[in-house]
Amino acid sequence: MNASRTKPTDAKGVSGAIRAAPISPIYNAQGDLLHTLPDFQRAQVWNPLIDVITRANHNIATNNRAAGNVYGEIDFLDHFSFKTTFSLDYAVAENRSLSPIITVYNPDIPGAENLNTSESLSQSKSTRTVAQGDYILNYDNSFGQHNLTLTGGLTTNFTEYSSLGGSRSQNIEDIIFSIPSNDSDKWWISSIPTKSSANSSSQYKRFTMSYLLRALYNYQNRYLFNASYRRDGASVFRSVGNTWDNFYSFGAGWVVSEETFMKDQSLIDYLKLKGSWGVLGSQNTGGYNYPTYPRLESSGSAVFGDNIITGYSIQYLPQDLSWEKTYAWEAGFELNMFDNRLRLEPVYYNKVTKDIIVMLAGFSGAKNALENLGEIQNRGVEVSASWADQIGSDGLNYSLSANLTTMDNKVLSLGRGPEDAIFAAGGISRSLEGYPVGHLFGYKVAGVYQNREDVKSYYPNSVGGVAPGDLKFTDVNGDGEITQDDRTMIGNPTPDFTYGFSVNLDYKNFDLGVDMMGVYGNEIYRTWDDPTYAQLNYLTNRMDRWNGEGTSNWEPILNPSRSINLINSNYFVEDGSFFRIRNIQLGYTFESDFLQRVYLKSLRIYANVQNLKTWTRNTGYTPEIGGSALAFGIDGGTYPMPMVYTFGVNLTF
Amino acid sequence: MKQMKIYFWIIIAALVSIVQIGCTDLLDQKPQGEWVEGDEGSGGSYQSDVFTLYARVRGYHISSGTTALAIHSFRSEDAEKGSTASDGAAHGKMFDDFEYIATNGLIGSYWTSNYEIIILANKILDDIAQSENEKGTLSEGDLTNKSEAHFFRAYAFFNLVRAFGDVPKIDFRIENAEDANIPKSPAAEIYALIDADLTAAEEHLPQVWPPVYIGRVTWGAARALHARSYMMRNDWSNMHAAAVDVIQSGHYNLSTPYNQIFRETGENSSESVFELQCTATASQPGSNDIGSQFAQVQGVRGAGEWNLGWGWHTPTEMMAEAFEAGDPRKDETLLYFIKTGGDPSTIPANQPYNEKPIANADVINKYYNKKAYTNPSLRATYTKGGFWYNIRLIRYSDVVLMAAEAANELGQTGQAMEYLEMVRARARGSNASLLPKVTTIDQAEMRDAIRHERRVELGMEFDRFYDLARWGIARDVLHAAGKTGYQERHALLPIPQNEIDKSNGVLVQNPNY
Repeated sequence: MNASRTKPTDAKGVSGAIRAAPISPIYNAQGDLLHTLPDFQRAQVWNPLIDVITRANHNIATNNRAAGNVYGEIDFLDHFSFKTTFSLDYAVAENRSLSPIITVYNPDIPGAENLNTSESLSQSKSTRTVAQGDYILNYDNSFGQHNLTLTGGLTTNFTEYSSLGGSRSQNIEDIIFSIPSNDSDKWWISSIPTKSSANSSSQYKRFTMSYLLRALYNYQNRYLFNASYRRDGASVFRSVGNTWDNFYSFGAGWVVSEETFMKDQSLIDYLKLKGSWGVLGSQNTGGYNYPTYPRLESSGSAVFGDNIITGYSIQYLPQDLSWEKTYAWEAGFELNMFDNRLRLEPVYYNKVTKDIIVMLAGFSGAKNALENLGEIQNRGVEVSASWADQIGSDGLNYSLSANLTTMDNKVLSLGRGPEDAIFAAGGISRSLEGYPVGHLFGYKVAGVYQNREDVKSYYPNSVGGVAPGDLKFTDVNGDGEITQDDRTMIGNPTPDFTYGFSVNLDYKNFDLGVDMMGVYGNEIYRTWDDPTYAQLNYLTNRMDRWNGEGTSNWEPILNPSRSINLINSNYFVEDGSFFRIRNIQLGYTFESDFLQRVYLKSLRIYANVQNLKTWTRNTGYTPEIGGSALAFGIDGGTYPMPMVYTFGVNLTF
Repeated sequence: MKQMKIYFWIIIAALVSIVQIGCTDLLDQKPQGEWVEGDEGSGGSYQSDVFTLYARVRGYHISSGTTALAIHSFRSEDAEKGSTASDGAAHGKMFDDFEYIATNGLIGSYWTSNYEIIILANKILDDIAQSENEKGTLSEGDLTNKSEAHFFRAYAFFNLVRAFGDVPKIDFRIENAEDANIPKSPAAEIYALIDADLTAAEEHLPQVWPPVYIGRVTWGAARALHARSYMMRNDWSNMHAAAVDVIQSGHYNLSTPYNQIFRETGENSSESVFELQCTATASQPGSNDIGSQFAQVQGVRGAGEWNLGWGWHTPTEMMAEAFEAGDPRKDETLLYFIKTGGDPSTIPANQPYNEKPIANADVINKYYNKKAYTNPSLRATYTKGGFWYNIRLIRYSDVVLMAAEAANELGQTGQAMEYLEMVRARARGSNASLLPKVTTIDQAEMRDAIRHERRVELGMEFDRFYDLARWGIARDVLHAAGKTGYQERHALLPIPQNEIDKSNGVLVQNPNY
């Protein structure tokens, strides 16, 4: 049983800050907050400090959570046991906030200006309950050198969520009591009259259930076999009749070091060869709790004079959705050497994910469709190694460990013609048979047109008008023309490999742990600095832009009207590799004789730093950019990863 | 011992079966607090989908936003992108200077949004057909809904065929995403579908709606749209018949003074044939759900009280110069303003509110569109964005001018003269010295007079570029206006690159792109 109460931090947007021209003043001569930045950014970028100064700490959130479990277990008939576990996780999140009338100053007009003409209060409360039940029957027996464990059971998981929210606002002209920014006692919606109010709710229930069967067998702890079977049912697929599906796996291992021929050597302490094959299901329905019931959503209202009638339209096309399945096999070994100081575990893995659940963009104006699609292969090698030892008999314990996972990602099939691609994210991401899933797609930049002569002598371009200073694309297909067919794969958002290191030191009562990780070989596509509607803060690279013959052969002219330079190309592709010191923790454990005097069993204090430093090569705030199954690694503006300092005490009574 | 064993198995079996029974029910989860397909009840009323069509047609990319304005209006000599140089610079190059590029986001949105309307209309028509099969008959309400679906499908296809020429003829229900991936059909086939749809719409749409449904599509709207679609094809006799039908219906007149039409008080006036209804309420003072951004997109781009919007779609000097001396319509088409720090005495105060707007110093336009100019007291009540401002899509004077043009082309210049005079008389108002009656009986002179009248009567009201294109004078007029980038191929926009890519070769780019 455990419970927690947390007050989440108050995060503010940073996209304005990264786009705002840094040369502009934030305050006027009187020290009042200015509204807009220079004219060329107006309407698109506001003073980013407005948010920080006038809206910070206007939000009060509390998350309460209690989780616990009870179980009953009986052993009977010598080899049987039956265990029932019931666990409950109950979380309540409450939130209330004030959106004040913001007064700012604008050099163009005398006096103060109100950014908005009404103030509003919002309140919301949500409850999430997860109840899990496990009923497991176990049989464990040995027949001579044969050891057998059989397990059968049933597990259920029920999730229920509901939230209720409301808000009220008052126009500046109606205000009798203005909501104070510094008195949160008034930040409840009852502080504002009901004239302009809104409310909302959202809720869902999900249920899954699984039957399990598993057999573990070994002979002399030397030859190991296991087989498991599960039958999973999920409420999300119920309405289309695909509730249930069967999944299984088989594995075998050979502990070579148990063989008699290995007894005479001391170099190798443990060696196990292992392999497995299996298929697992996923009900990852992209955040839809009722994916087979696309809801009729309010889609704008018909208005006839003052008569307002809400229209509804279906969210997406309903499809015969079922379980996403991953077929995986792997083979490898575990090796311990030098008195177990060195541990090494390399594994080759090969996974094929079939019937991936994706939201497929509709053609023309047709609705998107949530459907099962295609086969994608991921394969590679996963190696982990560690070394642990002690220096001096009472001295320093240390351990070093490292891991590396390589990734080779390829689309095997999209369930359509082999030449038929699927595009996502406005054509930036393409998936096509034989290529990595969601690879970045566009033109390859060969340089920048230097002068009229260059424009004339280079291949004719039917993509769009070009002039000196514009990006010059490569004739990829060699037909002597720049056309849409010269687009190609210009990056892969899946890394070549990921890796990590950690160091743990123990000296007397002190302990120190350092954890580092990195990603290598993926590409990021940058869209956050799209200058379509205003001049945003440029990257420093733009200092080296083309501004006359011979000035640059990579950075195009500074002119947002030249559409050709905004077309998807590898000009926007960045290296997504990074390395991060993820965690450092220093602890001190008190001696037990001291503790006994204060009736404590143990006491440890520690200091921790998370995300101390990340070395990146991309221009956005963070290199870690998510996305969907078919479009990821596209940086449309990210939130920086916070560095977190923690000081803590662990007490046991 | 044996006894205990049996008990044990019984308990286990009981437990498992209880869990099993309970859980099988639990697996049957249905959406909570949401409506799904089928909830409408058997034989549904289709109304909910039809009302969605009304919301869609008011949408940003169809009629109220930069998308619609760029495609329908920027391409003429009378309107341009406006705003500041850097705001949407690439759209300016594309739609003002004719440097077309297939990756332009506006054409993509226009394509998709029009097909959304078409695909929803197809679904409604299919539902109604199924219901007719089951019930054997359709109620009056069903017939009206069916006509509305036909009307909106025609409206969207008319948008597409004018903008892109040949387009995919999706006139069937879409069950799977791939169903919509079909090749283009010739423009003539699209027009045939438009004709069939509008004929069907005219059959059951009411002549007038009771006040509670003011602004809902009528027979007159369908017939007037039909006239417009014939006009685009220079099909003079059908155009004449359709326009004259609307005139003879007697539901419309030109009694509303020109300076009232575009004020909030002039919403749904006596000359409103098809007007998209927008509104604002205390709880939704600035919402696309019940209103539109039409006024905001075109509003004065200033600071403080003059931050009415983004300042796109602005009249050019050529528009200003097009008006005859003293034509009162000039001051109802152009909204005068000064820039920050400018001298207010250099401009007249805009009527009826006596305002002198102040725009940011770096805007590049000389005027704003007064046909999107909002009432200051409503701005104070709701928002400065004017979300309540109705969009007048077809006005009666347009229909009268269509009748005039068709009559003249059919050789009935005398009749054309009378229709033309109706429009000029209203514009003239009580000042008899203005806008003299056009009395020529020369067909070519009358043609010029009607073309001029369309330009000034309907200034800044969308389709000027399509008028230039159908008259075959786009190249001359645009080159004279300094838009020398215009070539004949620019009459049609390129098919959006995104759609070509998604189609994997099924959709083929328009020629010369």
